[in-house]
Amino acid sequence: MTSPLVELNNISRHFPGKRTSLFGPPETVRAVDGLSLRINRGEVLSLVGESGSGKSTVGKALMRLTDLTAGEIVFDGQEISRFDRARMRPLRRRIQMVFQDPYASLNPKASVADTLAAPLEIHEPDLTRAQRQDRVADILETVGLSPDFAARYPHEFSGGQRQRIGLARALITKPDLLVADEPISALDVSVQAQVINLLLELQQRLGLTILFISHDLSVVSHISDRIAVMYLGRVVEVAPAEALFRAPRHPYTEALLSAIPEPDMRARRKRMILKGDIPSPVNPPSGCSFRTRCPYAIAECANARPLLEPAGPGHLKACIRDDLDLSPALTSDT
Amino acid sequence: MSTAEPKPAAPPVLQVSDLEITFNTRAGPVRAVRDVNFQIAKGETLAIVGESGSGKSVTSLAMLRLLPGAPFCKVSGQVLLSHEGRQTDLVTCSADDMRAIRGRHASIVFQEPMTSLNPVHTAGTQIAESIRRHIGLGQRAAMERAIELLDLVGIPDPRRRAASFPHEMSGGMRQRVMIALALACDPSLLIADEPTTALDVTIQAQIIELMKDIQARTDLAIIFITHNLGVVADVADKVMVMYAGSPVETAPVADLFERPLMPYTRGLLQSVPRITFSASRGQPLPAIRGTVPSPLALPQGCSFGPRCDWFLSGTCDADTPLLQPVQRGHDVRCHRCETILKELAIQ
Repeated sequence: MTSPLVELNNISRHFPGKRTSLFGPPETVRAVDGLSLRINRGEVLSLVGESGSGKSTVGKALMRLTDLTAGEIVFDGQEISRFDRARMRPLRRRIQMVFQDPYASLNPKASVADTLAAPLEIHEPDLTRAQRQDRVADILETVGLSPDFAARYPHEFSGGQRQRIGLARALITKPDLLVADEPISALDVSVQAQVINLLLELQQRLGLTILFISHDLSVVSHISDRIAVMYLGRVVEVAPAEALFRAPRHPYTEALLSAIPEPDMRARRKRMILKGDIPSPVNPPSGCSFRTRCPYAIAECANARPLLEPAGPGHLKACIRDDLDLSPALTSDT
Repeated sequence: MSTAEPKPAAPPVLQVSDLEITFNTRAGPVRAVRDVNFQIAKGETLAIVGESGSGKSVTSLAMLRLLPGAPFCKVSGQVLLSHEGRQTDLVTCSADDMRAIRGRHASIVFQEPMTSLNPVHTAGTQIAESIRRHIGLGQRAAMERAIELLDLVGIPDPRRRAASFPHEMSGGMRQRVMIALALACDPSLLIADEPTTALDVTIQAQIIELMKDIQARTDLAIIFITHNLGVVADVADKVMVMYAGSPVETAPVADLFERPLMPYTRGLLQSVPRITFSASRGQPLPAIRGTVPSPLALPQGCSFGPRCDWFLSGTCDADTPLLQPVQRGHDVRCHRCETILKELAIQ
């Protein structure tokens, strides 16, 4: 068995919150709190969760756009969480990111050619001008845009086209790992499908490993090999995509699956409605952080933080109740 | 909001005829919305579906006269609201009449619960203000009613929450306050403009249940504007699909999902990602090619023509198709509708 491309070992990212008294210490916002996850080579791993669950912070920590409070990040055998800028630079070519907002993530004053050539100037300075232009034309074609677009500026493009440019900028350095943080949630439904298809096609053609961060479970089911569900800064369940939808083992996963709006009138299901909101990451509940909203919580849930334990082939869950019969999003005949 | 048989005939709460909205821009007049016709009865939910730029939100703002007036914008047509045994045309009535109706007989909930509440007043004060103004209750009685409303929309500890400011609440809670505010004067029509889009899925499910529950109790007519077809299947009785500023298909919700006829609706329904697995990853999602046209440069003839698989040159690019009844209650704007129906029958 080959080693995973990325291993996140017990990582935490705490932010200082607001000060509750004049001279007292500030509160601590535990955005990511003791999370472990591995990403295998060539797979699409999705990280799902609601806003405030810490999924974007995990992506940023992996990109080294934010520093860790504790834990380690092992990328291709090297522990990189404390690398300085100079040591990170060669690795940045290999880890690239696509952002959520195609309007804010492109420089409005730079032409498409300038935007796409910038990573090459840094990572492959030996290229001649003509070689760079060729690479720009190639990558535009790869993402389904005409090479003639190179001279244009971002405002001339629609949201879907801009997201293709963002993808081209990430892929031009031929990365091993692509972190895609909600790459389609700002797009219209009819355009979303185009971008998902492109992402999957490129993943297979280029052998990319993708960390796909999303809150949309239907999209995630379509593109993932494995899915990790986050709640309040921790992973509560990881499983192969199909197993997660057919046999969820954590009550929060059950609730998330049940809340997916279903556009098929015949597949109506009984909804499981969670009570209340996601608690504040400043004061997460003791023990299992989901227990305040969990319909199956028992007294023991408050005692200790449940660990991720095996619950099937490739399936891990952090829940002390093994006796639950949770409803799947799909029954076996669909 | 059931999917059962059509409800018995009652006078429509709202009847919209030939609504047209034109904005005057630097690039010239832009017809953002045209040919909008629909009616909605007591206890009924109409979902208006469309992508960004389809004109669905502008339609909702125009109905409550929330758009800037001349010279920036021109609204024509008729929006007849039934209230207290009378009918008022909201396009032509006086500003005073409009103020007496808005928030009293017809109210609106917006997408963004963060920006649609006043940050410097408590939730209770904002709800009580509407009650005092429209119903004329005293300060104390209005505040008691506000607390009852907060309780009705499922806010825990409503008395304490009435004294909270919007920034002290979560997004879901703020949206509940917005709904309480909209329902404060017991209106007959509620317009909900993407009320769950800014919320997380588990909170979205809570808000949808709440709206259904309130409708069952009060017989409210709801216009639910959304781009999420999953939500539509969940809440609507009737659906109106908009594309590039005009309705392209209207149908009872079950018909629309079972037998969509307009190629745009068919494409939209197919391109929604369903729960499918990596086994099927070889197969790409069906996508609609191209992008939504700019309202400044609509294509000749059918606006969907250039993106349509059924496009027939000489027909579809000649003149604009009309919205025509195909089956009972099912109207479609498409030149090729007969052909599509035939092919569907063969399959």
